[in-house]
Amino acid sequence: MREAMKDRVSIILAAVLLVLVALEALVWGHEHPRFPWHSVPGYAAMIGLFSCLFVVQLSKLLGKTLLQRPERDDY
Amino acid sequence: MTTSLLLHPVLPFVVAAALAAVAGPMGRRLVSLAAPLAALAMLVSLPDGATAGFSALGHDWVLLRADGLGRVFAMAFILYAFIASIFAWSEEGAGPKVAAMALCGAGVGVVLAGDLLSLFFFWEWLTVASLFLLWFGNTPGSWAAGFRYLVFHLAGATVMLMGILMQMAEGNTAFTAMPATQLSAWLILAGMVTNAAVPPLHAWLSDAYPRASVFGTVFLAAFTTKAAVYALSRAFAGTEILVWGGTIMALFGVVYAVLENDIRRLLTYHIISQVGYMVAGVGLGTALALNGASAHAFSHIFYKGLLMMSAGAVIYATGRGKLTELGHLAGPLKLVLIFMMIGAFSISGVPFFNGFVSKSMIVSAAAYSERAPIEFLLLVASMGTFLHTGLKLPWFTFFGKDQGARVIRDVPTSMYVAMGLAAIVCFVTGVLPGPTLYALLPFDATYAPFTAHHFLESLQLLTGTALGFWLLRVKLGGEPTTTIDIDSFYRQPILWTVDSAGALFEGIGARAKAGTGAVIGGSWGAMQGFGRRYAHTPLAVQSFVIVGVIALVGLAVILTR
Repeated sequence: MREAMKDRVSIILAAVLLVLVALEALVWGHEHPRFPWHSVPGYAAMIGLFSCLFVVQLSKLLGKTLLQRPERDDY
Repeated sequence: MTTSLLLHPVLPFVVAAALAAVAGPMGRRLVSLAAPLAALAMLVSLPDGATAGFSALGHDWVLLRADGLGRVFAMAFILYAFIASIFAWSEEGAGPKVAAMALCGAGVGVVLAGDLLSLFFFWEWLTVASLFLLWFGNTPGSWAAGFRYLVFHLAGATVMLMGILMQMAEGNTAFTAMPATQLSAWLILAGMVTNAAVPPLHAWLSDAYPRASVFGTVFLAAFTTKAAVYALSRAFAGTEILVWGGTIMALFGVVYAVLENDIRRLLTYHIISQVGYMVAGVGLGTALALNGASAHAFSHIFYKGLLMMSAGAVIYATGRGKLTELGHLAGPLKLVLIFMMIGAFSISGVPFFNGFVSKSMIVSAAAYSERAPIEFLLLVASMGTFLHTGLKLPWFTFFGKDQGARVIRDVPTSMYVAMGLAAIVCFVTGVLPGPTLYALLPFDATYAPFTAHHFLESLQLLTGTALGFWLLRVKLGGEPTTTIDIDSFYRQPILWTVDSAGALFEGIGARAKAGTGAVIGGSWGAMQGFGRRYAHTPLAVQSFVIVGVIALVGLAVILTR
């Protein structure tokens, strides 16, 4: 993570994310919250970031253990 | 209100297919552009509720039924047919043009058919046209993929036909809502979900579409799955199994797209994912969800077409289609990159592009129906869409390290024009959805996409995904591997069974022949020969035998009821 913080792109994206979450918390909250988490500022940001990390790791694991084979044109 | 069959919007495509078979290259191009324009004029002039048909073989064939639900799909198919024909302008062969026109006609036919047998007629026509479009591409692997395509679709259609015949035996001939409570309805549902590519019945799609020509894929991507979404909307709105089936579909495509190296196969996995939203919408069954399914199908036809066109343009220009062989092409293919990004923004639901105004209808409908897990999982799938089509695909195609890909032939102007038109549709329907998209929707539900919170939610999701991509980008590059799909797990045992059955016949025949006299021995010998031939028979024959066995089992089910 420390290395990532040195990375300018990561810093910019994280800053944009914080601004968006702040706007949601302070100005434009969910108009019609249906579920409790709709009222938590930044829930969409968390879904975006953490599900991305999770899905990529899970898919790679499935690929390595089960699904990926040496390249061939037909199967 | 009855009208003339001569006003059926399928007709121009039939005429165009016939003319394309005999005309020269320029004539073929012109009829492929004229047909969608004529069909559009005919569709627009049809009054709501118009029907047309004839009686034959003891059945009233309602080939035309113009109502709101069919009209929105027909409109999208016809407009897209025009754009795809422009994209394929530089293709000279007669076969692909005939198949493409036939495919467009079949798609329009399915969504305007009024009775179950007419639906089935166009349904099969769609399969045959798709198959020949794939084969006419004459690309490596397309021959075998075509037979696999055939097995899936004939098996699905056979099951569907059984259901239709059972429905007709009870006096139901109209294609309309049918509660999934009887066996006949379940059989029809099974046929439809095969065409909608619901896992584990999806493999034909990711197998066949990337193996077609760059022009063929652009046509193929639009019709079959969306025609199935239409059919599900008509017949099975509110069927619970579709809610979960669609949601799993939406996620399934995402997982496979992480592993995929072939750029068009990556996009086909996202067809599965996006059609998953529509199937889930149909399953939710509320007016908003059904409007969402129709609207998202409309959007999808254009943004997925645009993505397939831009991927096709990359393959056309460089002769390469794998992420591990591409990269560093942003300079020479700048315009293609821009169009791919417009398609990617649209599919990802970036504000002011069409996915933003259509996908969110389904996600919101899930929330309004108090379906928390569905809403959550569809948001996760949205993350995956942007991760792959918005970030991984363009990054490793255009910006990744130089893998030696060079532009070896220029992208024709016609391809740019087609991509431009598709991009305009994606943008205009995204900015002005009211008059351009929502006005076409068949059900009575209103939706306001442009709220401050919806903007924030989307931008947060997309930015969070972008951060995740950046942190994991080293892992997300293509790998020179083939990802086996679920079908491998059942296709191989089926083929093994087919081969073994042949070998068994051969063995029994040989032994029996040795132990019996000349007359009886002769027939055992014939059995031995049949077994030997069958075990080594081409894929084509084996394919038909598998479908035949399914049909016989089906017949037995019907007869013993």
